This record gives sequence, structure tokens and C-alpha cells, in this order.
Amino acid sequence: MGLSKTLVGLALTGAITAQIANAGDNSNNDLTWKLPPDIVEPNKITTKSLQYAFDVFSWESFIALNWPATKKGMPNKKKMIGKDAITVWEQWPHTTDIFKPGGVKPDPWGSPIDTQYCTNLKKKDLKEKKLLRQIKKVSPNLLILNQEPMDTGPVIDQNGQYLQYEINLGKSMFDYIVDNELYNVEGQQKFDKAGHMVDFASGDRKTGKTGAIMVKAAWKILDKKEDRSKFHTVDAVIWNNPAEKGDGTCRIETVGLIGLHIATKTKSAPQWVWSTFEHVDNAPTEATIKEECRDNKHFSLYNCNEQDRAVNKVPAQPWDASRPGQTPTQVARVVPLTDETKALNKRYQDKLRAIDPKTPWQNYMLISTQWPTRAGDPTSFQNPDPQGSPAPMVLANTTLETYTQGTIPQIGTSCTECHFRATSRIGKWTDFTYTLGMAYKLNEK
Amino acid sequence: MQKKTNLELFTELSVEATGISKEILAPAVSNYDLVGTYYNESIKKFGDYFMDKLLNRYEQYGLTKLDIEPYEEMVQQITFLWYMGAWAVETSFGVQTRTISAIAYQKGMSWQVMQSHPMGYSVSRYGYWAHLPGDLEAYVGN
Repeated sequence: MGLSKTLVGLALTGAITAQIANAGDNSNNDLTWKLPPDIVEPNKITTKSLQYAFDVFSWESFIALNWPATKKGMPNKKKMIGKDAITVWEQWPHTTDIFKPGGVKPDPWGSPIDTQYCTNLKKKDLKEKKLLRQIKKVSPNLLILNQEPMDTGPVIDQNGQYLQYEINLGKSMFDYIVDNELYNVEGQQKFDKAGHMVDFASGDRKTGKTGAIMVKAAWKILDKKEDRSKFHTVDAVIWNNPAEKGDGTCRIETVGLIGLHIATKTKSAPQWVWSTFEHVDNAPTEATIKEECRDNKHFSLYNCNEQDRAVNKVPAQPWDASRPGQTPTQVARVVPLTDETKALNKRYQDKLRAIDPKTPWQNYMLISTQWPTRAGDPTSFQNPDPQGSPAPMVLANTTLETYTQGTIPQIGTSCTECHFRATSRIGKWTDFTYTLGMAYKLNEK
Repeated sequence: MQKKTNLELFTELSVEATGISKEILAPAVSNYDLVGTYYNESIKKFGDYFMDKLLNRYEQYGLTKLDIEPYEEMVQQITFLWYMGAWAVETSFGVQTRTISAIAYQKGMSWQVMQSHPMGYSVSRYGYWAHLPGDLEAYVGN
């Protein structure tokens, strides 16, 4: 059944319609810590109205996920978003905390980060720090590089520092993986032999429950000269991952958030909703570089004084984050934001500014949201369109898909198209996540 | 009654000529405006004058009365475009095809009728070849 049919069907149920109306389009109301379970159905269903609904869903998710958090990864309902603080999603476990060597069971939800790698630092220095251990946006695997579907190379910022990445999973996904022992190969085999297929929970307005959520973040190490107030910042432990040619040591740095993917499974989008945000100072749009560079603008990932340099080229090898003096990557956005998305960004940025004129969150923007226009069953071999014809057809974040931007089919990044092909370590369907491919065998190091 | 636009008439003509439902050719919600693309491509190929004439005649008399030149060939070409995502072009080497775009190639209706996918591009997941495809109706909408 197509999404439009699904939504029309929903509209016929008065109670559901009332519930949706009550939930409301939050773009006209106060910002809230509540994660939206699904989109709010537009009155008139068109591609544009649905795109808008999904974009609002993205902003609501961004606000809720970046709400000041408790240590257990829950929103602190006594606080308001605005002043910089540790956020909800940052308290969620990293994929490497879930898929551990030896296939051992992950620590319970809310456990402190695993800093076993950082033997060169004192334990007290590591307390309550974020651990970053990835210099390439590659799903799924940090440690087994040849399994990465998008091993396109690292991004070096204008200070010559490598961007750092992390992938975190929400509680619904974490519980599903732990309850079904999908964190190791033997558990995945048992699950498959019992005739199960991975099927994460979907957010649903009817029940009010949110579904599975994955977050991928890109961070920039902040130079002392940079205006830190413009970024959401944290003190992070940077691990020079030996698997990525690092020297294995750790150091503490202040990092600023510059890219954030939010992937959410909802009832109206069994192919998931793919939202992506960036810091406003990341990079100019390729077609308007001259205009954007006019006022001596400083970008984190583009040098306006070197406009002759080719953009979006992978740095020369060897890639080693600990090697000083490397040439920064010249990054530009290939597909511009739509006017509608720009207008929505302004509305949310204004709301955030109204709460706190100095809030760093006013400096983030939605790039777009990819969603299925024909939301049928993605697992059915009888469905002629299991990917659901996602709109927009391509979507890329300059920090996370730097080298695969563009509109050429199968080369330009499509979140749905790529993640649809994700499989577990035993080659089975994983419901749009590559993370299950990170599982170890029992006793495997 | 409000007069139909040329785009609406083009959509109706396309549905009738191809035998494929409007829901597939020109869905209300979609990630690519195929009907708009093909309408504009047809204007480029035939010119405004002939497109107007074709669509006026179609509106007045229906598809069966388009069996005279140049309309018959225009409808054949438009049908071919929908099925192959390409124009049939006369060359000194005979009739050859000119594909409109990579997306038009992917979205050619011939693949739908075959309950299959274009060479080099499939939206199905790994292992689909070991399973029967869905009913034809799921592909062509009727």
C-alpha cells in the first residue's frame, strides 16, 4: 500500500485524526523534549505537503534528541533546550559498545563509556567524557575496514584536523538487539534458524510510541582561536584508532558538532525517515561559492582563498590522523537546499534564538529529509517497489557523505537505497541498518 | 466544467495508449515527475503547434480517431517513450533509440510489464531472483 493510501486510510479513523490534530504541527508551538512518533498527516496529500511534514518531523526529532539529558539518555524535562549541555542521543551507546569483541553481551543501558583503549590517560581525566574513535564516516565497521560499504576516506578540516565520527543507537533498537542476542554471530544464526527476520519497532502516532532510532554524528576538533559558542561542544577523548593507522593513544579535545544524521523507523515510513542536519558554517554550495565567499566568510571545511582547488576530493594516502600538517579537504555542497527547507530552517532557528539568543542550536540547519513515497513492505519479494521510491532521490551531508554527493543514480547518495542493502554478519536482512554486520563471533577478537 | 490542461490531456492519452494506470504513470505522490518530464520532452520533439493539435483532437474524439498522420506516429512515439524511456530516432544506420536520461531508463514501463527490472539497476533486495515476482497488477496498476 502506498504512503498516500496509508495516510488516507488513517484519516478515515476519526479518533486517530483527532489524536494527530492534538499532537499538532509543532512548528507553530513550543519546542519540546518529546520525540515525534511519526509525521503529522497534512490536510492535502501531495509530494510537497508530505515533504514538509517529514521536514517538520526531522526538526522535532532534532530538538528532542538535542534536549539536555539525564545520564541515562533520557531528556531532562526540567530543562529547556538552549544553553549548551550534554544531549539525549550522546548518552546512547555507540555501536562499538554493543558489538564487542568476543561477541559478549553489551553492558546494560546507561552504562558509562568504555575507555579501556585509553591506557595513556588517567581514569579521572576520562570521567564523563565522550569517546571518539573513528576518522571516517563508514558504516558499519570501525575495525574491519574491508567490510565497509562506503570506505571513501576521511575529511580534514581547515585546521588540518580529521573529522571524528560516532554512531549511536536508541533504546528501542538497543533492547531489540540485546533481547534477541543479535550482538553476536551465534545469536544472529539462532534468530535466523528460528525463522525470524529483523524488524525494529516503528513509531506510531496511534500509540504515541517512538520507534527505532539511529544517530550518526560528525565532530570537528575546535581550534583555540575558534568561536566555540557557535557550536554544540563537548570534551571528548580522541582515540587514534590503530585500525585506522593511528598510534593507539588517546587525547582530550573540545569538539564541535558539525553533522548529524537521524534515522527513524515509523509506521508511515517502513523504509525509515532519513533526516540530516549540518552546522551552518560547514561549506558553501558549489553553484554559489563566489557569492557565499564574498564577505570573507570562514567555513569549517572550505577555504575561500583557494577557490581554484577541486572540491570533494579524497585526501592523499596514507590517512593518519596523528600526522601533522596535512592539506585540508576542500568541501562544497553539491545539491542545494530547497527554498522550502531554508524557510523551515529559519522558523526553527528563530524559535531557538527566541529561547536563548546565544544558543548554539540556532547554528544548525536541516539539509533535507528522505522518506518513501510508496511505503509498502520493504521485505516482500512480491513488492515491485520495496525501497518505496524515496524522495528526494538523493540526500547527502557534506560531513558524512562528502565524496558521494550528487544526482547521478547509484553514485549520488540515497540513504534508503544504500541502507536497504544492509545485511547482518551472516548475510541476512537487517531492516536498514549496517550495524548488525559489526557483530563478532563468540570468542572472536 | 473547467477545461482540462494540456498536461492532464497528455496524462490521459498516455494512460490509454500504454494501458498502464495513472497511479503508476503519474502518481499524486512521487519522487520524480515523469509525466511532466515526458510532456516537456514531447513538446520539444513535436513543437507546441502539433502537441496542441494532438491533444485537442484527443479531447474531442478520443484515441481511436488519432489513427491519421501525424497523430498516429506521435502517439506511437509517446507510447514508445513511456515503455523505453527513449525516443526512436531515424538514422542512416536505421532506427535507433535515444534515451532521455538515466532515470527515464530505470523507469521505463517495459520493465514493469515484464515484472522485472532494467539491466544494471534493481530496487529488489539480495536473493529476489529465487522468488516469483508480484502480480502484474502491482506493476502496472490494473
